[in-house]
Amino acid sequence: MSSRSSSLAHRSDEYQVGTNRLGLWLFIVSDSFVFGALLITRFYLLGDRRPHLEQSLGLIVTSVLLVSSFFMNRAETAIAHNDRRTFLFSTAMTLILGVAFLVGVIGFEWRLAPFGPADGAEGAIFYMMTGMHAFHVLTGVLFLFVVLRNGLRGHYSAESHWAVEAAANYWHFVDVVWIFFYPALYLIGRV
Amino acid sequence: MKDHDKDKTIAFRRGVVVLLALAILTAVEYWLGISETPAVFLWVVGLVKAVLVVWFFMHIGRILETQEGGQR
Amino acid sequence: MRKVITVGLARGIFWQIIGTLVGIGMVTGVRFLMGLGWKAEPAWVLGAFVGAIFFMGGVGAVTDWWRWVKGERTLEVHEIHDPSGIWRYFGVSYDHKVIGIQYGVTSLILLAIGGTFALIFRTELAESGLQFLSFQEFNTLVGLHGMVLIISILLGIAAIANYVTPLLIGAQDMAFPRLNAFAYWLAVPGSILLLSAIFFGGFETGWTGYPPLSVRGPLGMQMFFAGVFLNGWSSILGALNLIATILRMRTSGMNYFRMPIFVWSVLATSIIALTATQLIGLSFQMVMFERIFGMGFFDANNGGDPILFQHLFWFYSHPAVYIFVLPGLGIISELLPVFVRKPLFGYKWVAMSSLGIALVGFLVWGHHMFTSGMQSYLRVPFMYSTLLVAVPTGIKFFSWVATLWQGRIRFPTPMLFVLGGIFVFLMGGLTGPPNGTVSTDLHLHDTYWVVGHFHNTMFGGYVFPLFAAIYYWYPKITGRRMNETLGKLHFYLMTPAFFVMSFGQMRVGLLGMRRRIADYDPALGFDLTHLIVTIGGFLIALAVLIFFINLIYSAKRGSVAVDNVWESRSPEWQVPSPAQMHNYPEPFEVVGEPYDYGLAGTQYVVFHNAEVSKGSEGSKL
Repeated sequence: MSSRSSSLAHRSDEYQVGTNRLGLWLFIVSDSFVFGALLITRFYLLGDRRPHLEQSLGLIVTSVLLVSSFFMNRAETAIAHNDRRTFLFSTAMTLILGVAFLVGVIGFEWRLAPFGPADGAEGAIFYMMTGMHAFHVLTGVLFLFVVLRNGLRGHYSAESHWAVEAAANYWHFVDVVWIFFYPALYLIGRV
Repeated sequence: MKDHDKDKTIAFRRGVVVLLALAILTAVEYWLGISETPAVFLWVVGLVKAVLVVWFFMHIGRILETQEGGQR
Repeated sequence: MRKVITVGLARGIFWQIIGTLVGIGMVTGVRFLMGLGWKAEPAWVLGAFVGAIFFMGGVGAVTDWWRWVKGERTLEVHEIHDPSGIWRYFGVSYDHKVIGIQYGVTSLILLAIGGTFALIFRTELAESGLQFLSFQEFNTLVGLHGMVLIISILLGIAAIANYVTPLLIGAQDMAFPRLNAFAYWLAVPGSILLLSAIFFGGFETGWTGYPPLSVRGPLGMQMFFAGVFLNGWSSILGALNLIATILRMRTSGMNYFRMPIFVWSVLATSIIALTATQLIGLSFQMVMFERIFGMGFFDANNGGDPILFQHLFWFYSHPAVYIFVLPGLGIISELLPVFVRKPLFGYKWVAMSSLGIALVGFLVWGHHMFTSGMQSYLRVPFMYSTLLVAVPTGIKFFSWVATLWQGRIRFPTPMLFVLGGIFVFLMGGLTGPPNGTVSTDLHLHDTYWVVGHFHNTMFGGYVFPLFAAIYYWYPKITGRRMNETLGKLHFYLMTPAFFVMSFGQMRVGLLGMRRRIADYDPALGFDLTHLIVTIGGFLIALAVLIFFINLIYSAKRGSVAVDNVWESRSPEWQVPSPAQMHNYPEPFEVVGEPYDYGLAGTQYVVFHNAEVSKGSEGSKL
């Protein structure tokens, strides 16, 4: 019985990772509808106007997030080649840069913005878009924290590191969202 | 083992190249933004950046790698 | 008693209460530190969400994931053997069949609750003048009737899809069993929150929750939004799981065009649910934030625009009706060949029409807004895209008629509901184009005509097929058949009663009766029709009551049906009922077309081990 049922049950682990990958991508597709709708909201309500924001800060946080994506990719590549030291270092870097991004947006931009959430469409849109994105960054940071912790205890290897791949893909997705949010909030339109 | 190291070096180098491309595009984007060019250019740059990340960092091609369906 | 405490559901609700208190405490504590006083709304909203999170922890739906976070290993799903007996249905199980039953029972409970709400306000409407409800109560009941039944339908679809899909494609379970359990259990606190809206002052907007009214309403509005938000996530995650299962878990030989047709409709439905649902979640979330933080998305005084809400809302809520009907239409296509003993006509076209409806469905939302004040140049494009839906839907009707043509038709209860579903859905389809055409819709918008039309599509596209599916797959679940006499009584009572009700609704609608109105002028002469509609509604309720009695009665007393009762070619009927844990003792192979009934020498599935396939008579038929 057991041998028969196991022949039914098991597709290889590799196949299961493929299914997981598909599942994560489906989630990303689903989630991007939220961000797409936020972009539509921004252009529907503000059109050609844009909120008055600190340009240099916008450029800094954008760069921070892009560099973090680079380190994330480096971490994943490293563990795929069993390079544990680079993996741990790069994951930690990503984590730090992610936190730096959060501090930049929540700690500085939210304080410096000359409007609050209740001040017209600019306020509503700015806080909703950055808030929703920051929430995703925060979950990504927590995910990375888990990966780093388990990585330090020697959990991942070249053959089995789905958690790292998932964290990386999620992190890059959050980055892609910001790639569109940055021009929509800071660059397109007039103040 | 040599091949393995070589793979790794290539993969790391690819990451650096993509980062440089993203950095340059971001600089271009910023410049386009402050010089108030039509929004469509910004969208194009954003799209290119997104494609770079989705293709090289998120490895979207991988979902097609493992064959679908079928019992192993 | 000790058993009750160890049951997941009881623990979940206990922790939900604790979590709600924690959430309230957090908001109040922070406000206190900021030197502000007690404020009910933010406290209850955070309480609602923290309560839901605590529920998920308490019920045990995240236990395994938490172990993964800690870096521990957990049992593989196929190594887990649930305890048998009734208690496993009250706690977390990863078995897709258990989850399917859990979904189904929850759905039927909500169906009964939502139907009861309708009976209450229908009684109020039976006569002009206000009898026993206040306006506020009437509006709350109408809104909850709508939303509770929408949730019931989503859960009912999830029930059938969860139970049947892995069986049909020869998978041992869903692609992500833990996510499957999580998605189900998320719907429980969601539904509790939704129903709790009654106790928080209700809400007056109807199920659509349009601002600006929803921005001003009582706290019940927030509970409504929170409940729908959680149920939306349940639906999204369930859809994700179904897509992954269908794409990755099919047995050998089952290529896309050999999948049972129901699986195609589940796939199409899941694509909509996966993507569009995010927009209702977001639009409701934005109203919640508008109420709590004063963010002016939809307030024209504060830079916002209420029309934007309608765009976001209908981008989900129109495709949502295709989420509701596509699985039902799939069930009709799935069951029809079994009882007609003929191949399904135009399999590929039917499969593609499901995807076609799903894709066109994304482009039609504006037809709900012809009178809203949106840009008038949008009206005509939305009218054409709306009428385009008739093409793929028509394909399905042609297929059904051609399948029925010259068949040797059998008429057990499931088949009656299939035929009833076709007729009722036809009525729903025919009454649709007048609403989709701008010139006529300007008159019909927000009248009882729309109510009648909508109930025809929901009954034809969901309720009748749901009952057909339950009567059909009941033996697979319990090993017993449902009572035929009661089943036929159910059908012959419900169908005419339904037509009386919905045609009555359309009649008063054409005469000018507005929907969501508690009272009407006796001089309009609607009293008699409204009375008849109310009687029709009560007769439907009686028929459904008979169904519930049958459902419970047959579980213990129904005639034993272990074999292939319907002489189906489908794989799940080739093994003895009730279906066992992990579905098939051995994988089967697909070697032929699924619906070649009556064609000699054809086979759909082959079990390599002969003794497994006890009921395999069917495959030779």
